[in-house]
Parts: sequence; C-alpha cells; structure tokens
Amino acid sequence: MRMSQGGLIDRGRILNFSFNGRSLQGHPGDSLASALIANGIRLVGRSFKYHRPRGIFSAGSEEPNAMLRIGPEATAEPNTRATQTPLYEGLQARSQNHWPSLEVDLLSINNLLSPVFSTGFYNKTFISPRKLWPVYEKMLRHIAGHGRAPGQRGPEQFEQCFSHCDVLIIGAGPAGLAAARRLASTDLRVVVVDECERPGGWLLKENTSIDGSNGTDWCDRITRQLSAAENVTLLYLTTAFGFYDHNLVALAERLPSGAATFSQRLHRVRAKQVVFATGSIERPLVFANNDLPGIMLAGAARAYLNQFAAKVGQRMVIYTNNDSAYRSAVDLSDAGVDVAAVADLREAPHASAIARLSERGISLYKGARIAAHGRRHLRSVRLCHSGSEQALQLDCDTLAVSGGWTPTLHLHSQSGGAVRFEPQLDTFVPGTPKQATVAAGAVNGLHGLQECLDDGERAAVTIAKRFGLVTGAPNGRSIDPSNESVENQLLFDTDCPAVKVVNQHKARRRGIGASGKYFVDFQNDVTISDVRQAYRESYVSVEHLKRYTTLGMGTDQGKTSNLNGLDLLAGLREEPVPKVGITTFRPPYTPVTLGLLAGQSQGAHLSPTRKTVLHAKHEQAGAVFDFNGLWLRPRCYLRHGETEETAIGREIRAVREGVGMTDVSTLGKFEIQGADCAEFLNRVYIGNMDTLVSGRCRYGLMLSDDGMVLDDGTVTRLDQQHYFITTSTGHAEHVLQHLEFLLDVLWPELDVNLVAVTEQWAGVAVAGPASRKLLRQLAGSDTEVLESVPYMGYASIELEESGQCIKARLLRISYSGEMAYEIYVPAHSATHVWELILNHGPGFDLQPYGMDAMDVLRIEKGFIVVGADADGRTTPMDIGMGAMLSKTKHFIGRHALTRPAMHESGRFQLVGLQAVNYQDGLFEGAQLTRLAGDRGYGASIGHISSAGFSPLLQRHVALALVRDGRKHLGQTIYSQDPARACPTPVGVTIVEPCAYDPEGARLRR
Amino acid sequence: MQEIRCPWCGPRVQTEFEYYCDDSLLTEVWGSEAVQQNLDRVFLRSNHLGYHQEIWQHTHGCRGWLRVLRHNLTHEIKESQPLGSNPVVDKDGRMQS
Ligand SMILES: [Zn+2]
Repeated sequence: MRMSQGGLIDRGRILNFSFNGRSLQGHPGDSLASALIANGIRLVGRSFKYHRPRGIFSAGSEEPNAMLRIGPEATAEPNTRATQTPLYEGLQARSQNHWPSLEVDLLSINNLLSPVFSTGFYNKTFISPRKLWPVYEKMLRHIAGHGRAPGQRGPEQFEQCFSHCDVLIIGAGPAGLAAARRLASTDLRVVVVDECERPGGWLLKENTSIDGSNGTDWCDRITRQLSAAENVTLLYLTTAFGFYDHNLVALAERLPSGAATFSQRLHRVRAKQVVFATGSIERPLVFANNDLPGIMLAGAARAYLNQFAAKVGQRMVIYTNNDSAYRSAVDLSDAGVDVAAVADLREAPHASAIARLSERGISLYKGARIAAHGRRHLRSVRLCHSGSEQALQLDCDTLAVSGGWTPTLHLHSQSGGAVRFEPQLDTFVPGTPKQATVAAGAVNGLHGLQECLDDGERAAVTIAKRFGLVTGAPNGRSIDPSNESVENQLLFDTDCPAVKVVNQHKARRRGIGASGKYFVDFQNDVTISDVRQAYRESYVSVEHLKRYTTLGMGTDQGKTSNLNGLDLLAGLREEPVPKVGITTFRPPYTPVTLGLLAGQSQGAHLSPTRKTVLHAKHEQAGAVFDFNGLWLRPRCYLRHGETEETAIGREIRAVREGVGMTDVSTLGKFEIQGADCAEFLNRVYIGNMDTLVSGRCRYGLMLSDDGMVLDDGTVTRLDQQHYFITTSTGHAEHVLQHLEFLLDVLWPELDVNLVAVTEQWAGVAVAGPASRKLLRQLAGSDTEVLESVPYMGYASIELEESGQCIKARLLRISYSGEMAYEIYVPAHSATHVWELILNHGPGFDLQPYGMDAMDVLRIEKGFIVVGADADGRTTPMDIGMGAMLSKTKHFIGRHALTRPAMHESGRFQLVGLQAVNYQDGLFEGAQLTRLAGDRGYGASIGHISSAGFSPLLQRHVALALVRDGRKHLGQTIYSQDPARACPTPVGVTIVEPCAYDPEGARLRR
Repeated sequence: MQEIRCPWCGPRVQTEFEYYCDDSLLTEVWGSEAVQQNLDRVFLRSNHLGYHQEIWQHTHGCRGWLRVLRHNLTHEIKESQPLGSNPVVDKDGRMQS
C-alpha cells in the first residue's frame, strides 16, 4: 500500500504500467518492484523447478524471485529483476515460468512430486536410453526454467565506448560518496558509478541523519557538489559488472530512451585506481516454507517504506539473528504497520535494541525458531522460543527476515584480490588486493554510518597518496579531512552470530509445524535436503556442491544463498567455513544482455568488408559475391536466365577454349628493394631465388620454422635490386608479419626494404588460348615486347587506347593451366584497364570469370591452395614439391624437414580423386576411408581438401590429403559425407593431382 | 584486456597488438649447422610459470616490435621496451646490474 506522504517519489506525476495485462499506476522514482508492492501485488512469479509461488524478496540487484519479462510481447526482455527496473510510462511486465497462468500453475505438480525431483534427479533418470535425451530435453525445458528469449529483435540500441580515468568509484552509497567528495577537490579525473537511478545507496533506504540533515538531503548536496566538479563524472543506472586485467572495468549503462525501452552503453573503463564501495547484501534465514510470498528481507521491507513510501504489508513479524532488523521493526511500526513480534534467534539481543521495541509495545521472543504457513501467500508463522514450552501462532501477512550481511565481494574477487574470513561477521571480507584497488565501507564489513563515511575518506586519502598527492598540500591537489558530525547511528549492528539455519529436527520437536521446504537458494530451488543429499553422495567440495545442486548457479549467482549454503556444508563437514572455502566469483555481477556485448558489431558491421577497386565493374557485370576472408569477391557472373552452375560452366569453357579475365587484386603484394634482396628471398623461400634473373618470375613456397608450408606465391625480379612478390589472398597479413619480423628483428643487417602494396596495385588475370591475341590489341607499340615474354616471364608494358597510356607490369604466369597473363596496374588505373580489356573482348568472346570457375580450373590442374590442400601439418614433400627444396642453401624450415618423422610412411599426401561412378559428387570436407563400411572414429585415412565439377571432364574433380596417398595411386577408397548430400559412401580412385594437360603444353604455347 | 605500453605510441589496449613469440626464437644463428640446437629452439621451448620474455608487435599501430616482460599467471607487465634494447630485468623479474 502507498503511504500518503514520505518517500522519494514524485506524487505529482503518474506513470501507467501493466503487470500480466492489468493496468496499474506508479510514480517517477518508483522501481517496478516498489510500484507492484504499492499496488498490493505479492505474487510475481513461479519458481524454477517446483513452480512454487514467489514474491518480491529484496530491493536490490540480489533479487532471486521477481524476474519478469519486460517490454512488448514480441521483444520482451526475460529474467529482468523488477527491483532494478525504474518504472516508466507504458512499461509492460509479465511473470514467467508458469502454465497456464501465474495464479493457476499446473506445473506446480512438481512441488508435490518433489521427493522424486531431488538433486541429481534429471541426471540420474534421463541419462538412458541415450537416444531419448533430445525428447526428454525438450520436455524438461518446458517444465523447468526461467524466461524465454524474445522472438524478435528489440528496438533498443546498443553502443560501446572506451574511457579512461584516474579513479573509478564503484557504488555511490555513503562510503563511495565520501570518497568521491574528497577526490573531487583534487585534479584527478574521477568517475562514480551506481547501479541505481539515483546515488545514495542505503542512505536512501534508511532513516538517518548526517550533520543535522537527513541522509537523502546529504546525498543530494554531495551529488550537486560532484556534478559541479569538472573532474568528476557521475553515471547512474550503471552496473560495473566485470573486472578484468590491468584495472579494466566493464560498465553496463542503461539509458532511458523513448517510452518503452532502455538503450544500453558498454563502457570499458581503464582506471588507474578503483574504489570498491560496493556495499553488502542481506542474508535470508533458512526455515520451513521460507519462500512464501510475503516473506522478504528485513532491509528490503524498510527500503520500500523509506525510499518508496510503500508498505509491504499490514501485519508483520520480524525474524532475525542480528540487530539490523530491529530498525525495520521501528520504521514500520512508526509508519503504522502492525508489527506483531520480533523473533530473535539469539538468547540475548542488545539492551538498546530491546528498549526500542518496548517503547513501541512490540513483543520480543528470544531464542526463537519459526516456521511459515500459508498456501499461495504467508498466512501465519508458528513460533517457539526459550521463554515457553508452548509453541504459539501469529497471524501475519508479512515476515521480514535478516540473517546478517554479506559484503559484496564480487568485483574485488574478480580482480584477483584475496578474501579473508571474519568470524565475528560470519562472512568473508576483502583481503590484500591484487590490482590497483581499495575497498571502502560496508564491503569491508563496516556497518555503522560514521564508520562507512570515515572508511570512504580513508580510501580517498590512500588513493591520493598513490598519486603522490599530500594531505593538506596547496594548489587544489590536496585532501582535507571532513569534520562532519554524524549522529552515531548504526546502520547495521556488527554482532551477528552464526545462527542462520533453523535446525529442522529440533524445530519439529517443538511443535511449530516444521514440515515443508527449507530453501537455501530461491532462484534455483535448492533446499537444505538437497545440500544434505549432495553431502551424503560425497559432493563435499564447495565447487562440487555448487554444480551438483546448482546452488548459486542462477542468474543471481547466489547473492543471497551462497553463504548460507557454505555454512550448511561447513556444518555437515564439521569444519570451519574458511576451511570449506568459497566458489570463484565470475563476471558478470548481474546478467548482461548479449546485444550489449555485440554493440554495433552486428550483421554487416561484424567485421570490415574489403572490396577491390574493381567492385563496381563486377556489379555491372552481374557478379554474385561471396566472402574470401574479409574480401568480397565475385563467385561468378550471372547472365540473364542463367543458374550459377551454368554460369560457372560457361566461364570455365571460356578460359579453356577462348579467353577469360578475372580480378586478382586480392592477392597479397609486396615490393622489395635493396642490395640484399636475393639473399633475403633465398632465406625465405625453399627454392633458389638468387638464380632468378631480371624479367623472370618464379613460383615460391615459404615454410614456417617447423618446416610446414606457410604460403605460396610468385616472385618476380623487376630489376637488379627490385622484386615484386605475391602471396595467397588469405595469407597476406600473416606473410607481412613474418617478413617484417625477419627484417626488423632477426636480420636487421640485411639491406632490404619491404612495402606491402596490396591496396596500391590492382591485378587482372587474362587467361585462355586467345589471351595473347586479345592483349595484342592493347599493347600498341609494345606488341613485340608482349610477344617476346616467355612462360614465367615479366615485362613492363604500356597499354594504349585513344592516346592514353597506362604503364603495367605484365607477368606471364598461370593459375589455370592455360596461357595466361597477370596485369598489375596502380589501383587508380584499374577500372580503366578492366574496361579496356573488356572493350576488346567481343571479338574473342572474352568473359569475366569468378572464384568458383578459378577454383575448378586450378583443381583440374592440381594446383594447391595453402590453407586447404596444405594445412599446418603439410610439408613440401607431402604436396609433391620436394624437388623444389634447394640443396645448396639454407632456408627457414630446412632443419625441421630433416627430422625422421617427416620422411616416414603414414604422412598425409596430396593426391587427386576421381569417382568410380562418374555421376557421383565429391565435396570438400568429406572423410575418406579404406572400406565402404568404415564408419566411425579412427577409420579416416584422409579428407577431400578441394573439389568441384569439371564441365570439360564431365565429372567432379577433387584434391585430397590421404595417408600414404602416393603409394596407393590407382586404388579405390571411399568418400564419406553423411552430413551432406551423400548418405552412402562413394567409391573414388586415387589418381595424380593433375587431371588436365599433365604435360603443361598449353601453358607454354 | 590487458594494457601494453608501446615504447613509441604509449599505453594501448591489447587488441592493438599481436603476440608473436617468446624470446627464445631470437637466439638462432643463421646458417648454423647445429641442427639439433636449432630444432630444440623451435620445438623444445621452456614453459615456465612466472615472468616471460615475450615478443609482441604493435600490429594495429606503428607495427613496431616490443619485448614485453610479462607474468604469465598474473598478467602483470613488468616492462615493455623496443626490441633490440637490452632487457632491464631478468627472467625472474629481478633488476640486472
Ligand atoms: Zn606503437
């Protein structure tokens, strides 16, 4: 119910929203959770496994129950914590994990069957028969789980940014604000982030006073100071969710955008120093039916009252093991809630606390144990206590519980910082940091307001010292101690004995009706019995316990459950908690939507697209594009009414019978100059490059240090001390780095200059028996030069048309097996040259051809692609190029090739394949076996590395890497390709790689 | 993501760099016929826990080469210098006199 006054809400404005289709109203300043509570809504969801009714349990990011689907149906964001969602106009919220409705959930039959659904039930029951698992899985996913992923892409925008600061303060509660205020007076660049809509942390939720004004006013004053400071940036609704290497902190900022959604921004902040003012999270108590709607954390009950003016119920009982919950009794009683009783697990609460209850006439039961009763909602508690043998029943609609406070260690722990067990608090606190960080405030186990403010100041001074700033120094780079008077109000009492788990058997004896479930983890429905069972089944390590019971594995990562689970396990093991240890904290602190991590890197923006300078020409010619690495290249050129298959066939015929042209600009290209070029190339390639004379080209193979093929390409000697080399498209970057390393690091003494010119030079290959005749038309006065260029020769020529001259490098090399020329021109002339060649084409039936035709042409010839036909395990001998290895010089990889294993049998060797039955298709990636029936692991003797359909041979051609393939030429083996079009094995004969013109006569015409 | 200080460009995020090799690859004497030694250099490198002399390239920056002394468990970077300069600290992170 909403109070008529108080709270930090703007009653002057009304926000309309809906929950499960019901129209409701709230105010600016409300969270979705507070607005639901103000509207009297208590049931907000069904639990993960048992489909038990659940209500709002907390007021912060630890919320295990109130996970809703937010937004319009088609794009609703699932598993969104109502406690962390600021209310906005038009917000649509729906509960999840029930069928058919929240009120009547037939799947809650699981609750009755729970003796069957014990820990490990799914694993034990559905494991066999294995074949049926997919069926089980589908069924189980319907029964157990949280929200479903949205069906459509939502309207929210995501963006990412990098930022840098001197100090990042995480958490704007008392400690964070105190630290920020001190550092604001320096010239350090400070960023303060808080996951809530406004700064203040627990100051907004408690009834406190600082320096005579109340805590909220103090927050506003400090916030105004910080906003005015130029060196301070405040980020609200921003969660620091991950701490990474070298003080990199990932922030998820939510930006209200439009009516119905938040857009988000991912900040990667590199902070020189980080302050963890992350606070602490209240722990629940474990007792019978402790998950009923109406039961919530005691701190949350007064947070809803103080911050949102929302009463969580009419008549309440408080159950606690520490003094902090007494504040809830006081605040709620003063607000007119009927507080029936405080039940304290301890025998001797503090006298001052007792006094505050008796002032208000609230009963106190010491040494109390309780059990909750009710079906869809809490109706009463039964209670026994040390003052009486008789159990008593208290009717109530709300039960506020407190089991002490757990420091929010997550980020500290993610940063590699050590943690230390604090027995008095029965919890872990930050120990020695690993990176440049400081922890301040409640995260250190401090729960007095004055202590937290002081600790924030202390952290600021520590940080300032690390930057070399001296306390009291002039010129604005000083830190002055504050002298604010804080009424010594304890936010939370620090004396918190380790009594959190009600002893089931003892409670039953005392007649409070203790049958029912004792939940340790609400979100994943893990109970005491599950933990005990895991222990009985020997899952005694905390990591095993977590995985076996799924305790702490929900989207809340067990923020409220981990320590209770740990206490329980420690009790079973009869060891102290620190001996049992804690599980690792991992990012993210709260769930992060995948869209935020992707940011703008979606669709076409996932990676850059490289287009050659001839791209527009290809588009004009009807190209169908495909990616080759980052490059967009034509696969084939479609003519009107053609299928891709017929187009590819036509292009291949053009090259074999007439003339074709293709864009080879994507090849890696390098200029190499200097006196020691020949020596350098000799070291890099396996062949003798020093014998290459000016005006000639040579095919070259590069190896890695381990003797495996790194890349292949051509080397052209343009001049005495000037070379032009090409690499395969996919390896240009790698080869550049390889050569740079050699020249910059290993052999700086060589006089060699290397420049990558891939983008600066475009290349067009003209291939086919008519290629020379065609080029003669453009060679003009250089016709004789053209005629004289031999196979593997080079000449610089001028292409002429209507008076225009373009200087080009003409290399007579062939990747198709036909007479062919590669023409390289500066990129800015490329389109002109392409057009020039095309304009002379009609007389020769010239056709542009794409990657697919090029691929078939080279497979027919047995030419390899490094990366496909030679992988990182392939030597030159394996691909039949052993003869190229120089015997007269040293080169990279030579020693590695002398190892015996490189020459033993059993190596995968390059061969060609031919289907026994000509109609059978051969496809890249198919596995090869000796026998048709050899299916399964271990039977493969190789795989098809390249394949395509040859229109000239009227069959598929393929290259393959086959174990001892050269020894088995002529034998029949089997291609197995069950995942694709060939369900049955295809018989294939091992043949020489080159299927077309093996003598190479066509090249040398 | 780690932060690496490029001696020429200043501190930059790790994604601008590429790890290339450890510094044992630098020890080759070109043309030496000590085959086994050369093979050991390639295949039998030590994989110790602790500070590690690494060669990085500022690939998406100045393309310069760096020698980075980095702890391979904590990722602490003790120093990063132009490759070719003498290391200031030894493999265990101690200052060399
Ligand atoms: Zn650089």
